[in-house]
Amino acid sequence: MGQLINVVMDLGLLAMLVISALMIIRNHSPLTVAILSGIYSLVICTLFVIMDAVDVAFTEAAVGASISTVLIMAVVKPGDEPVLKASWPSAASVFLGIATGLLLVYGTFDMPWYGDPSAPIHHHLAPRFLGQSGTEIGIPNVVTSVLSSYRGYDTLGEVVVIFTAGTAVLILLAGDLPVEDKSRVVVQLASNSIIKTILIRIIPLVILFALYVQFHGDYGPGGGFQAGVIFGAGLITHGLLSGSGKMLEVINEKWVTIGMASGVLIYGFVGVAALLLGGEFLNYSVLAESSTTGQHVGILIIEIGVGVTVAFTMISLFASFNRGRP
Amino acid sequence: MIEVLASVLLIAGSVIVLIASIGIIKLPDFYCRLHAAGVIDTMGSWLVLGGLLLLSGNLVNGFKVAIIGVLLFFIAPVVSHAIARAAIEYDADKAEGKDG
Repeated sequence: MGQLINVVMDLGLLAMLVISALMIIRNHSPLTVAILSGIYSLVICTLFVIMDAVDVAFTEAAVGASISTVLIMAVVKPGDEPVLKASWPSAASVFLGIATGLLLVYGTFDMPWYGDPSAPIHHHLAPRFLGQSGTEIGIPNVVTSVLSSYRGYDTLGEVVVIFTAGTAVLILLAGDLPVEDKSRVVVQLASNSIIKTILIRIIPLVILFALYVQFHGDYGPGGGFQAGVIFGAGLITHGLLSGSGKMLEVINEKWVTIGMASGVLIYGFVGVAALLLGGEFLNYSVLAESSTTGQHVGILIIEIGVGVTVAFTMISLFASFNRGRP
Repeated sequence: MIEVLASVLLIAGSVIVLIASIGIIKLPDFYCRLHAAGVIDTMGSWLVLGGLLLLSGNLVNGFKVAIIGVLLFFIAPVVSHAIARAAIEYDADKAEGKDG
């Protein structure tokens, strides 16, 4: 019975994903598309929770469902949004699309079934990570130990990617943008005392929760990425409430840029410190007397680096999207 | 006994969410539909959370469910309020005509 309910829930959620994707294709208004992709993110976030990938669900909820929706809302001026024209595709592109889709479906036949214990991915390195993490790294959350220690190179790469993407957006948006008129959403939120009263009490809780997720990542779901996006979402809420100008009074725009870079630097310096102390790059074991203490210290510091870069990238994206508005 | 009470709360919450969802689809205009959505946010989620609170077993989990309840109690009505204000501001009829 429980099995059946799970299957029905999975199928229902996947069907909702397909429906919202189709609606996104069919829709002409960017604002509606933004809301629909928010719904898409929320549904896939629920699926992540069902698959026990709570860390990914955290990030998806904060980035997909809230921050990216807010960013699209910030660029589209309500009232005269551009119309996304969807003309009928040519016969060749329809054929190409369907053929590629069928090939991809054919490709999935070779993949292991969902949850198959004999799938190759569960037999290559996973047993070693699961078996040795407790003694080698010494933290309860294996996801964190894989992400930040065993796979420290990959995570450094991800942080650099986020930093590069943020910098690219800043470069694209740099220069003299035409000063737009006041964003009506911003003005409205700020002028309403009910919303203000509640949000002013919620934002500190969000930021506190971000810090909890940051420092609790060794023991439960969470870590730098999740904490960074939650912290960013908290400050962006403040920006929505009182305008991005007020938000940048809390953290100066220059410091936001410095913060973006310093997170990557913190991460890289931990690797260099490990090199100088005689280990390999990003081998935290040499950072302290005993190797597990070293792993603890290393993971703590690089998670802070990740969190700083992610949080400040989110904030600077919001600030630059909103430039010229109150 | 507690399980029976929890089941009653959970089922009542689910029924309310179901009725309100039908309302969101069926009701004639934007503000009526928002009213139906507000019922889900407050009554529906509170009944479900009440059921989960009774089923949570230990104090720590129960406390977490209670915190979610308190946050929803404040945030959900404010969100409904914000949507209603935004609708007035942005000309609800237009939003209505597009997707209704």
